[in-house]
Amino acid sequence: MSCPTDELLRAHVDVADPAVAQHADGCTTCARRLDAVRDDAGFAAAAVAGLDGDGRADVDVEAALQAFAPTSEPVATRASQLPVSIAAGVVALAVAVLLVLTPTGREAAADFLAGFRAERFEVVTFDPEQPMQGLEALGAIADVDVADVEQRPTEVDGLDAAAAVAGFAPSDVASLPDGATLRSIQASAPGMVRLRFRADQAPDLPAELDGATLVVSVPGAVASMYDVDGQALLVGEAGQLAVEAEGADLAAIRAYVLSRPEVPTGLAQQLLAIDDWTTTLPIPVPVDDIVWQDTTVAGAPGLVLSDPLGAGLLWQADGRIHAIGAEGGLDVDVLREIADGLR
Amino acid sequence: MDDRFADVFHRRYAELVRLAARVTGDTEAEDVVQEAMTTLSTHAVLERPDDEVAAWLRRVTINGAFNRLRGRRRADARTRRSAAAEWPLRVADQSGPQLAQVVRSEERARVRAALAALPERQRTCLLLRHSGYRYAEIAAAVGVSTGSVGVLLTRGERAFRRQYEELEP
Repeated sequence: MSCPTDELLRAHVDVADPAVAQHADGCTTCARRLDAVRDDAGFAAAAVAGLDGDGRADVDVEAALQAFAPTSEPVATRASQLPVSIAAGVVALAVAVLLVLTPTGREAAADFLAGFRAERFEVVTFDPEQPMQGLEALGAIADVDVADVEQRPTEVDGLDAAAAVAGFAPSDVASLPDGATLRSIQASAPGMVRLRFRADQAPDLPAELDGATLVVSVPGAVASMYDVDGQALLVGEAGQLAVEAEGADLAAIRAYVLSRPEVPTGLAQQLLAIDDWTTTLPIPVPVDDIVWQDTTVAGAPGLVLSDPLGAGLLWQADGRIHAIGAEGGLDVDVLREIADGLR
Repeated sequence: MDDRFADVFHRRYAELVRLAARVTGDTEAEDVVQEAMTTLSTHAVLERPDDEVAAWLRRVTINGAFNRLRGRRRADARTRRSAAAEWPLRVADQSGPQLAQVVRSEERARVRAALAALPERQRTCLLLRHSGYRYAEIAAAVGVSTGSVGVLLTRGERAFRRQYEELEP
C-alpha cells in the first residue's frame, strides 16, 4: 500500500484498517502522521465531550411542540413568523416592513409621521425598554380608519401576481447567494389610513385641529423570502409612503402629535430636529442594539444596519423603498451584490 | 398542525437540543431548535425522506447555534474583555467547587470560541463526529461525499487544536 491519505488515516482512527496499520508499522513518516491525526482527534473528542458539562436535564418535547399548535388567534403574518433573530437583523425593514407589512406599524407610522413624501432616511433611536405601546396609544386621540388597508400580506405565486396586488412591478432578483431557494412571495396592496382628530377625545387638542384628518397613503409592498442554508433572506420593495392633511396645516398636526406625552421625549426631539421633515422618512432603531451608517446602495443613498444576529440594507431608488435583510450568516457585501443585481 | 411536522418534531427535537446545547449552552439551545423547526414547518424539505430532513435540521441547528454564539460573543465583547482582565482575580477569589465551576465555564467558552473560529464545514464535521454521528450522517448534513468527511475532520481537528491553544487564558 502506498502512503495513505489523511482521509484514510482519520478513518483508521475511528475504525481500524489493517492495511493502514500495516503500512504505518513500516513507514516512519506515516506513523508520525497517524500519531498526529490520532492526537488531534482525541483532543477534539475530549474538548467536545466537555461541552456536556452544562448538564441539560430532560427536554419537554410535548411542551415545545405546543408552540406550534394552531390557536384561535389570527395567524401572524409571515414576516412576524420569522425567527426573532431576523426581526432584529432586518431592522432595515423597520419602515419597509414595520410600516407597510404590519397593520400596527401602519398605524404607528400614521401616528407619528406628520407629513411628507419620503425622499431620504434618517435614523431616530428609541429605547427598546420603552417600545411603541405609547405611540400606539396615540390612536386613542383620533378616529383611526384602517378599513382600506389589508390586515396582512397575501402569499402569491410569483412576481406577476405580486405586481397585481402591490400595484407596481417588483424588481427581478438577478443575483442570489449559492444555494438560495425561494420560500414564498408576500404582497400587500396599497391603501389609506385616515386619522381624524377630535377634541372630545383629546381635550388639549388645539381648536384649529378639531376635525382635521391625517391621510396616510400606505404603499403596496412585495417581500420575497429565501432560504439560504436554513437562514432567512428577505428582499423587499415598497412604493412611496405619503402623508397629507385635510382641514389643517400639516406642520400644526406634526407639532401637536410630537408634543403628546405618548411620544417619548427623546424620540420627539429627534423628529423635531429633522429640518427637511417633509421629505425625510425616520427609521426607528433601538438604541444600543443596532449599528447603522449612511451608505450608498446600488448607486443610491441608503442605510446599512446590523446587529449581532443579522444585517440589512435600506435604500430608495426610482420612487421605491428597497430593503434587503438576512440572518447573520450573510454579510453586508453579499447583500450589496443582491442589491446591485435588482432589475 | 401537520402530522408530518409533528412526527419529525417528536423524533428530532431532543436530539437537536442536545446538539445545540453543545454550542450555545443550555439556556439558548431550545430557542435555536425552535427557530429551526419554525423554518422547517414551511420548508419544502419537510416532504423529503426522513434522512434528508434530519440532515437539513442538523445543519440548520448547528448554523443557528453558531450564529447565536457569534452574536452573543459580539454583544458581550466588552464584557468578555473585562472578564479576561479579571480572570486571575476571579480565580483567586474562588475555592473548591466554586473554582472548579469557574474553570469549567471558562473552558467551555474557550472550546466554543475555538469551534466558532473554524470554517463552517470543518466545525460541523467535528461537532457531529464527536457527538456520535456516523460518517454518512455527517456527509449528508454538510453536503459532501462520505469520503470527504475524513479530510474535513482531519483539517478541522488540527485547526481546532491550534485555535484552542491560541486562546490560552
